This record gives sequence, C-alpha cells and structure tokens, in this order.
Amino acid sequence: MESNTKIGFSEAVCVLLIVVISHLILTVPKIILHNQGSSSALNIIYITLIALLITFILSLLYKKFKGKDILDLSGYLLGSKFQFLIGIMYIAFFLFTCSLLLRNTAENLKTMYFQSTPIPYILFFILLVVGFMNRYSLKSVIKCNLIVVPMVVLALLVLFILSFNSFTLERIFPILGYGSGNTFVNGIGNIFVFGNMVFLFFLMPILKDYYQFNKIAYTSVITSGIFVFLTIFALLLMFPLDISSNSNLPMYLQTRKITLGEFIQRVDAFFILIWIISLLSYLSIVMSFILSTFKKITNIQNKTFVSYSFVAILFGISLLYKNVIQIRQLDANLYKYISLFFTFGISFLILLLCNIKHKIREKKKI
Amino acid sequence: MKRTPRNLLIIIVVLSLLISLGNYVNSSKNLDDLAYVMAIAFDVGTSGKYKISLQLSTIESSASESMSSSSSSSGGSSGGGESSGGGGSSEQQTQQYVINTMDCETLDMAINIANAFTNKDISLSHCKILVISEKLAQQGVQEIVNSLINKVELRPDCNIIIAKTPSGEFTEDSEPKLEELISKYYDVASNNETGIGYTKGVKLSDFYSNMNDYFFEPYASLGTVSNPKKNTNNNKDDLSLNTQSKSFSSNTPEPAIESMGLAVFKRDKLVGTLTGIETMCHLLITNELKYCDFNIPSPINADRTIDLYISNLKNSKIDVKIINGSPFVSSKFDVSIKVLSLNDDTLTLTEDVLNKLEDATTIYLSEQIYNYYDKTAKELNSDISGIGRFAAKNFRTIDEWEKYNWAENYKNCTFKVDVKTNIKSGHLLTSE
Repeated sequence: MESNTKIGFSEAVCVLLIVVISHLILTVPKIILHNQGSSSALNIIYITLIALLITFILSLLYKKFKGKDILDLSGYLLGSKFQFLIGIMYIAFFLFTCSLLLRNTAENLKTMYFQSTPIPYILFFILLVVGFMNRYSLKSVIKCNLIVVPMVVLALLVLFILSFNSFTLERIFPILGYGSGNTFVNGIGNIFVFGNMVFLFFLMPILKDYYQFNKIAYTSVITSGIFVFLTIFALLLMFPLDISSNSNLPMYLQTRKITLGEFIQRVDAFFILIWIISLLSYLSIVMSFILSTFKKITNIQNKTFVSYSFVAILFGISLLYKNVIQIRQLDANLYKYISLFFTFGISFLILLLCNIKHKIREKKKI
Repeated sequence: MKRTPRNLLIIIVVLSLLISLGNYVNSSKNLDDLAYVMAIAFDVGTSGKYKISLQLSTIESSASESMSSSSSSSGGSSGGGESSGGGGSSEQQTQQYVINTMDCETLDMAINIANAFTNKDISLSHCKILVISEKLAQQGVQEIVNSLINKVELRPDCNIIIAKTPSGEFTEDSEPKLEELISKYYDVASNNETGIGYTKGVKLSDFYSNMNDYFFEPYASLGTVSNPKKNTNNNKDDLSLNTQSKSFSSNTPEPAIESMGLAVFKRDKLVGTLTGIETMCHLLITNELKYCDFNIPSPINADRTIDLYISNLKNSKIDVKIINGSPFVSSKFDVSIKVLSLNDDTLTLTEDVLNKLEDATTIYLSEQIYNYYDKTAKELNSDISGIGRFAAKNFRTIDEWEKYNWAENYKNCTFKVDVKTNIKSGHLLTSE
C-alpha cells in the first residue's frame, strides 16, 4: 500500500460500509429474500451474530501481525511468488465483483431512464469518473467516500422511516420461512453480505493506529448488520415475497411507493442519484485497492498509467456479459460463493497458517 | 506544458463521445413533443384482444386553464382535434382532452398507434386513473396489470376503477365541472373514500401487490358514469348502497363519475362486487375507515330511520385460530357513533334513548359485518381484507402455510364479531 496513506477510524468504517451498501442497493435483498422468505429478518440477525464471532476470531488471529495486509501475510507464508499469485487472485475477484455491480447498475439505469442509450455509453460515463478519481491517491478517494457514506446512510434511514406506513407486520410470519434448517444451517451462507470484511485484510497497513483495527472491524460489522437488517426488514414488510424476491431492484420499488403528501411525489429520482454517487465511490475505492495491490506485487513506481488500463479492463469485463439474465444468475449463484471463498475462506486460511508458522518459528527460537 | 496535448486529446475524445451520445439520448423533449395521457380505459376488443382508450390532455386547454382560472371553461380555443386517424375511432370531446380508442393486442401497441395519430410521444407520467370494464375484469387482468406496473413512467399511485359502464364511455363521459383541470378531477373523483366511506381508491401498486400476495386478494373501486344526455345510466349499471336499496344513482344534470362499492377479485379475475355499506365494513375491518354516514331503523319508532356518523375509535382486533383444520376468526370493533338525525326520536337524547340506540347500532353493525364476511368468504371466496395475515402465525414454515392453502380455505372460516358502540350526540344545541 502507499506508504504515505494513513486513514483514521471513521474513514476505515466508511470504506467498509460503502461496500455493503452498494451491494445492498442492488442484489443482496433479492438473494436473501428469495432464499429465506419470511425468515429473512431472523436470518440477518443470526448471520450478524456469526459475523461478530468471526470478527472476534479475526482479531485474535491478527494479534501477531499488526500492520500487515493479506499480501504481506502471503509473502511471509510462502514467499513472493505466492504473494504475486494471491495478489492476482484478489485483483481478479475485485474486478469480477465490480464488473457485475457496474453492469447491473447500467442495465437498471437503462431500464429506468435511458431506454434508448447503449450500455457501453452508460458504462463509459460511470468509468470516466472512476478513472478520473484514481488519478489521485487512495487517501483522496477515501476522503471523498467520507462525504458520500453519510449521505447514503441518511437516504437509507429516510427511506426506512418513510416506508413505515406501508408495513404489514404480519409478513414476518410464518416465522421460520422455509424451515429452521434453511434459516439456521443453509442460511449461514448469507454471511456473504458481510463481504466487506475482505477489505479488513487490506486496511491494516494504511491505518493510522493499528490498535484501532478491532474497533473498526466490530463497528463495521455491527453497522453493516443494522443497515442490512433495516433494508431487508422494510422490504419484507412492504411487499409480498413474490414481488420482493423476484424484482430486479426491490429497493427501487420501495422508493416508488413513497409519497410525502400531495406535494412531494416520485422521490425515486432522488434516491437513484444518491445510489449512483455511492456506486461511483465504491468503484473508485475498489479500483484504488486494485491499483495498490498491483503496485505492491509488481513494484511499479507510478500507478497512474496503470489505472486507465484497469478501468479499460473493467469496461471490457462489464461488456462481456451477454444479457441481464446472465448477470442476475451470476449475481445470485457465483458471486455469493466467490465472495464467501475470498472473504471467509482463503483470507482466513492464510492468516491461520501464518499464525501456525509464527508459532513454529517461535518454538524453534526457544 | 508537456501534458497539454494529452489533456487536449482527452477533452476531444470526451466531447466527441458526448456529442455522439446525443443521437441516443431522447430525453430532451419539450411540451410540444409530448401528449400526456390522463386516463387509460380497457375493454374487451372486437377486432383485437383489447379496446384501449387513451384520454389525452390538450396543451392548449391546460395552459388556458392555468393562466386564467376566472374565464369560462366552455370558452377558449379549440382543443386539439388532431387525433383523427385510421385503425380506430377517435373523437373530440371538449377542448380539455381528446380520446383515442383503438382495438389492439397490448397497451404498447395502443401507445404506438396513438403516437401515429397524434404525431407526438405519448407520455404516461401524468396518468391518474386506469379504467377497466367489468366484462374484461371478469376475464382476467393479469396481463394488463403486469404490463402497467412495468412501465416506469406510469405512477404506481394511479387509481384503478372497475367500470360498470363500458370503459370507453367512462372516459368519454367524464367531464369535470367543479375542477379546472381534468387531472385534478380524477384525483378527487378516485380518492373520495375519505369523504364518504362507501368506496376506496385503490392504487395500481396495491392492486398488483395484492394480486401476488398470499395474504390478500385484490380489489378495486367500483364506478360508473351517469350521462343524462346519453341516458347511459340504466338500471344494470347502477351502483348499490346496500343490498336492500339497489338503485343508487345520482340525478345530476351533467355527466359525472359515480363511485360506490368495491370490485372483488380472486387472483386476477373479477368475482363480484360489494355495496357501499359492505365497503364501509371492509374499511372498518382493515382500519381504513375514517368516517362515514349511514342510517339504521329507529329503535323507538319502526317507521323511521336514524342517521348516524361512524368513526373508528380503536383499531379492530382480529385473531385467527385453526380449530380442527378450519379457521376461526374472531374480530373486535370499537367504534364511535354520533347521532345526526333531528327528529322526535332523537331530539331529546336521554340515557334510555342512547342505550336503545347503542344496542340497535351494535346489532346493525354486527349484522353488516357478518354479511360482509359471509359474502367475501362463502359467496366470493376472496380474502380481500387480508384475514390470512392473522392466520399466518399459526404456521411455522412457508411449506406448512402453502400446504394449508389459505386462499381456498378462506371459505371454511367461522366468524365471531364483537362490536362495541359508543354513541354521542352530534347536535350542537341538544344535550347528551
């Protein structure tokens, strides 16, 4: 990571929050509601508790490796070649998730507002901003995000409060949804909504105070859990399951239902604007992490020139998807498991193995 | 200085892309390019699947109305009789709007044809009501509603009305007299449940939601248009206040929208209608009744009736238990009543008279609510008041709920109604 980049507590939490919120706006509610049915809210509380447990384990495992990111850890574990491999894998993962989110957003924007505009144009204008943002340092991007996140959070809260009138509380029944096994056993897989935790493995070197790591991790998991719960809960109570779990953009339907008296109607446009800004912020942040990772594994001096290449690659990958159906299938099936693999699989495995190696070395020293 | 040519190149590339984008983005339209639909009416088609009428507001009329509200609405410029054309009939009603009617397979096809008639882009963004004929509603409205809900520009809060008259006539005969703008006229006409309590404005989004819900069945407001000039309002199109008096019809000298009762659906098909009083019971059960006037036979003098004003005191309490496989629904109501009639019976409201009135009102309301439950459950088998949501707590999983098949079991419900009435005088000059 960039040596001069140091971020504080609120900046780090905002980075982790924007990742969750960006996915929450688009795909996460649909997947959860489809898999869990009326027990979605219960499942979110359950997986938030599990995420807190995982955070506790993470904080224990990270005790010996303050200031090290996942690349440093993989280098420590198996050398620079493994570090390079892991770096490339994470870059590919980030590019895949970004491209899915980007294309999904572009398709939704096309459906809602730009029916006759070709997808490449919509993608281009989004990526233009991302490319421009990445001319600046990671810190600048994170500072910008610090402005965006409160706006998005406020919009989500306002949306929740304004939806109160449309709630039918009895929609939480049947309480166990598709069964207790589905809610508490299969439902563990829904922990992918805390996919933002993967960035915890990249944040460590850029923290001003390494000892705030635990606080950042817990705060981000709790706040993410709250926002996911509020969003899913509102959608569950507002719409029949058939609508919320089959709609391409359930939160958009939620905004369309809101009116403030006879004077303020069609507030959906306002929320869409906020969501586009949040997407831009999310993409810029992830792109900055991609560039920093690339810089670290290749030792290039100036990442600015590479940034346009990565933006172009992202543009290309986003165009690879054939149609909306393919994107939504990938979102519902592949994204979930890839996210679980990188966030709770390989990252934890590397950290665990590093701890074992560290213990063996210490024993040898003794 | 070295970076100047590169920056210049970037600016040129971006500008050229922006300019070329102009070919694709068609959002830069002014009012002259658009024709705004105020109402869409659907009926069974003759040569096509549907007969669709689009009521288009004319810019000239809207402009003149908004600029000079004091001027007579009958005067002014002629209102865009440009909607002539083949493929369907069209006629100019007043200067306020034109109606394009065409037989076609889908709404999109109708919009395309209307585009050709008017040489303008049809915009649905100001559409206020959707009128569906009773005949078409009986055949099923799923295709229409799905098509409408997917139109981003159409507001999900526009109202659905099931028309007793052919839906085309409904839009043709809707002539606003008390409002300046036709859009406002539809707003008022389709949202008048707060004023009478005998009907309810149902939004497109709610109708669609109920159509896909396993707790609710859909319903829409029931309406007709009386046009004394055409003598269209014959008895078969009449709306009814209650089952005893079937001939509710206004006797206005001008055409007017009449809205009374609800159209009850089972999934997407119309299965029956509710009278005004039954609708009041529906609103009472769903806690949507704000106030309503009704009359009961006088408990003091059998020849007279007493006018009462009802408003909800507390939310109704509904509980559902499954006993031996059949649902047992107990519902409690706590309502506040004011006496409006000023006759010999009620001029002096003594304790005894009040008690008699309370008892009579309780019996009357209980009877009406029982009738409502009986009609929706046994006759129509359509749970429009969402009793199913109170039954869901008896099931642990969705599989159990789906196996039970509430939609079909609703007809097996046993109902218990408990009404508590609190009567007060509504008079200014008499004591309670």
